[in-house]
Amino acid sequence: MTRRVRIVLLRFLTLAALLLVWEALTGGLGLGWKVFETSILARPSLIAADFLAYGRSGLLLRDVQATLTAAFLGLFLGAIGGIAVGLLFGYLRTLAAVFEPLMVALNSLPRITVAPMLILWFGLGMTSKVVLSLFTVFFVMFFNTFLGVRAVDPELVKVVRVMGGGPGDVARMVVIPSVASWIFAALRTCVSFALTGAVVGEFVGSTHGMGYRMLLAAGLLNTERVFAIMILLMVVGVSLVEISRRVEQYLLRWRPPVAEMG
Amino acid sequence: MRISIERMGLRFARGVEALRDVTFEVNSGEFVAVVGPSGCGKSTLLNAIASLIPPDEAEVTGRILINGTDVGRAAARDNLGYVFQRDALFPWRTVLQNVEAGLEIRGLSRPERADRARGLLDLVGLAGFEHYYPHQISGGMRQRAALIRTLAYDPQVILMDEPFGALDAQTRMILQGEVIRMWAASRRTIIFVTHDLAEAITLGERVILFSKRPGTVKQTYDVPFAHPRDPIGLRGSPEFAELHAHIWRRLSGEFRGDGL
Repeated sequence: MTRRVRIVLLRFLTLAALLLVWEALTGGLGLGWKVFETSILARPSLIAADFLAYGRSGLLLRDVQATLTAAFLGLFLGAIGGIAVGLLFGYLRTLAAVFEPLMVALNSLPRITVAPMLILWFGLGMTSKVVLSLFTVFFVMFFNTFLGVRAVDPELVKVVRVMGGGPGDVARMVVIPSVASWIFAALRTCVSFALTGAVVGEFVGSTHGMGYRMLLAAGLLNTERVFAIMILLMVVGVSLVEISRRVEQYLLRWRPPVAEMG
Repeated sequence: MRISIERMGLRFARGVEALRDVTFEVNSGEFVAVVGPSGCGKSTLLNAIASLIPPDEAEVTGRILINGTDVGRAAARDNLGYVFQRDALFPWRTVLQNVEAGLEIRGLSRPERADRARGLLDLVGLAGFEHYYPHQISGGMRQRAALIRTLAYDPQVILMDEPFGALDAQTRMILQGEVIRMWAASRRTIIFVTHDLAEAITLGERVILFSKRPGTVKQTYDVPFAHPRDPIGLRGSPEFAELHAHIWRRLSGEFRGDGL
């Protein structure tokens, strides 16, 4: 057995053990070990049953769709805006100097605090979620693009110029690849921020989506549903982050590998 | 191409005087090594020749001419190659794409570029590494790639700024041998800057000794050894040792009081 196989096996065993203990402590498996009321900590088997019911009702698909649409629109618009303003500020030093305190202040504002305002401005529909998601993504992209423009290696610019290259060659061979690498590196963070933005927006006020459904279930003390949606969000989040990690890995394959977790 | 530097001085806007009253000539096809203590303005001199110093960063007096044309003009800069201290390869391009860069700027077609680049990669033993990224190969290989990236577009003048400074002694001598071979075959004009006197004598037909800052020409020595030279054999010879000792006496005077 290779080390890798052994580790995967150990992971499954740990997970299974954890679920069994959890099941038992919430009164399952007929052991009479009930420590937690199911209204406080839902029982895994009941969560699974509820998950299936949620899926069969057709609500699951609609909720996932609503949340993901908002998240992706926010990601897309926020990324475009962040990149555009980042480039602008990266090149126009005076503009950057004037607006820097504002950008830093806005960036240090906890993102969620703008949500109530956005509901007032854009209503309970999709728009307010898109805008919240966009807002969270925008700053990450903005700062990365801005720093990317500033971090262009002057030595590489010299190389192109000495070879007889003009500004177009400098942009194509040095500036664009260099800035792109900063943008790609921010992609993963942006994807999970976009999802968080959309779900939080739904918490604050909405009529659709995973966040809405979760808040509704919590209000009705339906802990199974709350846990089911948490697990669903975890699955969606992990998949999205994994996809963006692969995309990033491919696009930045020229980079020396760095050790990382998650 | 012939390079003339006439009473050149350079003072940075921050107040540091890097070069003072520098005058020397490099003949067409000549291999000149410039040696001097660290921080004596050698690199600044190369940057000035390549007109890479923005006018607002330094005040330059005197003139630098390439074939009689002031380097401020684009025409003089057109045929220049520059090998930097660190390899300065594009990290996002493969070895092959790096070597092709200058040809790409000159508008050569893809097959022409690849053809030319592969020939050079073969020449320096990098065949088989075409599709590696710079971080995947050793420092010596990277500097080799940087060297042939400059040779690829066949510049008439090649400026080299301590290109082998970061390499181990062994790799260094091998690459010195390669530079000698390359120069013997093409007879381009080369100005090679180094702080290593042995390297300067090994490579240059002439060694120009720079003073400490503000850098100026202290002395010029002709190096009588015939080309193509063998760097390793040459270093064992008594003539080499004698010339080295002779120049060293002068150079060490420049190092003294330098905080070294």
